[in-house]
Amino acid sequence: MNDNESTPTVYLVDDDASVRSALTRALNAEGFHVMSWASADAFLADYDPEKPGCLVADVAMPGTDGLQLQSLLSASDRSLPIVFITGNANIRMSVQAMRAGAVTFLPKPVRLSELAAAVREALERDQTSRQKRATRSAIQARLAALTARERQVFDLVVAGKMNKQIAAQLGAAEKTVKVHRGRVMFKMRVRSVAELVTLATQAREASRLL
Amino acid sequence: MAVGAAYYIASELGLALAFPSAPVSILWAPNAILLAALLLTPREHWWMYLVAVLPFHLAAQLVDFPVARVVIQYFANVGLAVLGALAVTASTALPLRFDRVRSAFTLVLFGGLLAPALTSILMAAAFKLTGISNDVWLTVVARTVTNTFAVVTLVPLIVHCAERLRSGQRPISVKRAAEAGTLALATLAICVLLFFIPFDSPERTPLLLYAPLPMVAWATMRFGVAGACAACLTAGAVSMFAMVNGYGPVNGADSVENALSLVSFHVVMSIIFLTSAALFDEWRHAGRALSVSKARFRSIFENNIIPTAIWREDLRISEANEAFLKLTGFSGEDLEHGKLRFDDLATMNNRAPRVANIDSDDLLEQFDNAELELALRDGRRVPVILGHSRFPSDEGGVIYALDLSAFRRAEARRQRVESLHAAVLASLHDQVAVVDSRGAVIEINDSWRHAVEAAPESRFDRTLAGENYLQCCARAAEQGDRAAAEHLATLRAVLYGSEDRRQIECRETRHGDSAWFEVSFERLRRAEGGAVITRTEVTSRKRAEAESRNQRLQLNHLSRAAVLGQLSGAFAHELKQPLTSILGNAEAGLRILNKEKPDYAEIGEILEDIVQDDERATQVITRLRALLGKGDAQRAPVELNDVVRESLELTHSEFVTRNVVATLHLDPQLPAALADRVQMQQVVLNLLMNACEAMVNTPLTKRQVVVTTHYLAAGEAAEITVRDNGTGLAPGDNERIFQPFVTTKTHGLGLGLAICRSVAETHHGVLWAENAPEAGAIFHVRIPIAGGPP
Repeated sequence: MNDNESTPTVYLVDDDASVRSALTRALNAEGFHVMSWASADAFLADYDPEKPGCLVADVAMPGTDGLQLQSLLSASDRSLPIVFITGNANIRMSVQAMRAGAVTFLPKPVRLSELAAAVREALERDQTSRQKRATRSAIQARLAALTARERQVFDLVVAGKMNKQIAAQLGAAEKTVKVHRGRVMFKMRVRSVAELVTLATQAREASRLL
Repeated sequence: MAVGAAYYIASELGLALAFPSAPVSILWAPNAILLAALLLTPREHWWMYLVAVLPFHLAAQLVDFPVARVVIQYFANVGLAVLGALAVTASTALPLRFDRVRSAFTLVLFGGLLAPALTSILMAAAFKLTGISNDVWLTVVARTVTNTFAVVTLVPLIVHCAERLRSGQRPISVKRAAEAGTLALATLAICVLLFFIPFDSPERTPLLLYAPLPMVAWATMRFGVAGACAACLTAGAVSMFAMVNGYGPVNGADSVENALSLVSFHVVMSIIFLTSAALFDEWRHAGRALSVSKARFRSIFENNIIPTAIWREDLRISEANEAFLKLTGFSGEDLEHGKLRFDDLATMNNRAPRVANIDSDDLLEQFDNAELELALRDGRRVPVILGHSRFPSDEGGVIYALDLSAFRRAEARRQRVESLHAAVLASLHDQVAVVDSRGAVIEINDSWRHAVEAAPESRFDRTLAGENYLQCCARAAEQGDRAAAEHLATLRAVLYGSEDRRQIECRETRHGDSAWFEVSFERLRRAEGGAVITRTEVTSRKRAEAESRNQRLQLNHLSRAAVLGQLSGAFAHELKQPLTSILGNAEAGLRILNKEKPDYAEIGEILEDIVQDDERATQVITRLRALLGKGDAQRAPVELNDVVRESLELTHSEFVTRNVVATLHLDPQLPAALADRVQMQQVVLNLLMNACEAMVNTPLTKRQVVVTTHYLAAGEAAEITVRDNGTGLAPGDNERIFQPFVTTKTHGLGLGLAICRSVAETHHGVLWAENAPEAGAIFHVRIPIAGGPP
């Protein structure tokens, strides 16, 4: 198995051994890197959220079932895109799963093309979310470098205030505001206000996403 | 010895009273004593007496007389006794009694006159020849009369006393003894006073001889033959003793003449008195017999339980007994003066009343042994049988009336019982035949007859009354009719075995249709044995049973279908798992084949997996088909552990979906039970599903089902228990839940457990529920290993 960190992995959780082996084979044939577990709990014990990948899980399993696994992952901030497969699909279950962010809900027996498409989508989502998460952490790191006064200035600049207005609001000299603004631009590694606003928007989006 | 001694004493006495001039005694008692002894003994013993008296004879006479005379006399005496005894015993009936005229006369004639006379003549002739005595005439006459007197007086007396002693009659009353004593003393006194008169006394007269006669008459009247004989003997003996000693009333010139006339007088007297005593006795006896007979007749008449009446020639009833009066209601006064006529009482049915002057014999003939009604005093009539008889000599006769009313009542009751019995038999829809202990049909009812008439010739049990059921069955059985053999064996078991009742079923084909009969054989509860055979048609019941079995099967099937419906999602899942694998494997294989260098080894693995998954899917489908099948119940050895495992496999997905964990504790010792596999699986599935349902409100982590199997060696039974961790049973629910249409769920018919219980019961098993000690309920199914009849 390719242990390259950058290679995304399909985590397959199904209590049925033959289903596990068949789907592993099929996904392998589609070119995916697959790791499989017989139960949700075993998977949770092994799962490293740092590694990219997606989850293909049976809904009905002894012990912790698919939907419980989904909520457990969300609760521990280790969420990853999930493709549910089930032999006993019902609408209530699928709505619940979708609302909780599942990529899709596939009935068994599942065609490989559909599964592969779903897995691909899931991996993409994972990649996207990982990128967004990386961006957000970078912005957050920059924001963390700002002093309290610089942060106030940042918020007001992003809000579109003029220096004069900011100075008036903060009760500081316009010149002082300019200095702070320069520092903010430097620490946030932007050259224009427009970039700064984009950054702020990204940060907001990322935080909402999580 | 006693006879010998008496003979000796009498001989000495006789010699003392010897005739004055003849070689004979005036009172010779020995011959009479010997004669009496012979009369009292059987003839074959006579010789002993004759021999026994010889020494006494010799002892008494040899002293005074020459040998020749003694010998002649011995033979004469013995001859007299034997002759007399022979004559008397030959002509009179035993036992000898001389109180009858006939026997007294015989004694007088043969013993008293002929025998002495004959022997005396022979003896006189012998004396003459030997020269002992020449006076033949005197010897003959003297010996004859003296022996006649002795025989006539002594023999009846001795025989009477001996018979009285021998028969042990009651002792004589004191009063009678006193009378006898007085009489004897008076007789003796008169004789002594009157006969001891000297010869020369002027008062001497032969008339004095008559003086004792009143005494003798008294004795004769009061004491019969014995009295007469004793009195005559006393008078004779005293007078003779007096005469021999020179006294006496006879005053002839010649002493021999005197003696002869005296003895002759006494002979005549004694004969007269003996015969009259016999006559008196006979009269007395006849009178007594008559009164006894009269009393007997009266007693028979009065106490007879048959109503009896005596009628006179004019048909008037003169007397009636108690039973007659009781029957008719008349009293004794009603019969007085001949008020009641016999033909008034007895009226033939619808017969015209009495015809005047009808001949009584004609009337009686009509009534004889006729059943008619007797008119009672109160106007009622009773049925009687009338009998009559005419008195042989008298006018009139006797009628008997036998009351038939009790008999008629019994007859009527018997008829009622019989008609009821017949009516009951006739109204029975079942076919009934009664057979005796040998199997002969003694009675059948109409149903049986109709059935026999309608039945084909070939049927073995077409038996009517008089035929033998056992033989009919045996004949058919010999020809291989198995039903007949079964009938035969069953009836024999009831007739001769210990069983009181046995029942068999048999099928007959009628007009192409099958008819079922239940034939019961019941022992007749009576001493003579026998049995009642009852054939009841049970075709409709059989059909209903089949129908009900069919319905039960359908219901079972529906119930299974319902369970399967509940499980359909789970089954879908069970099927989709292998299908998923197959599809995944197949598509993987396709991808691999599309590669430039396909990995055939992997394709091989893939194909093997596909085969396995296909088999898995087939298994699921097979089980479902079994459960959905409509097949009839089939008993076969079933491994209940397998049934439990398979049921759990079928419900696996459902359990997973419901977060229920199943734990198995299977008894490896459990033998195969004779049961219907599908039905057992149905029961287990139902219980598993119920367990799941019961845990809807149980926290997810506590949803547990524990299934166990046990072998109960003691009861030869297998037990399956299913325990859940749910809410348990509400009080009182552990029986209620098995009733049909009772459900605790919001959906379903509530038939599941009811059907499970009926399945357990058709397996002769039980199904019950109880609450588990900790939480939840336990259901137990217990069925016998050997199974039961399907």
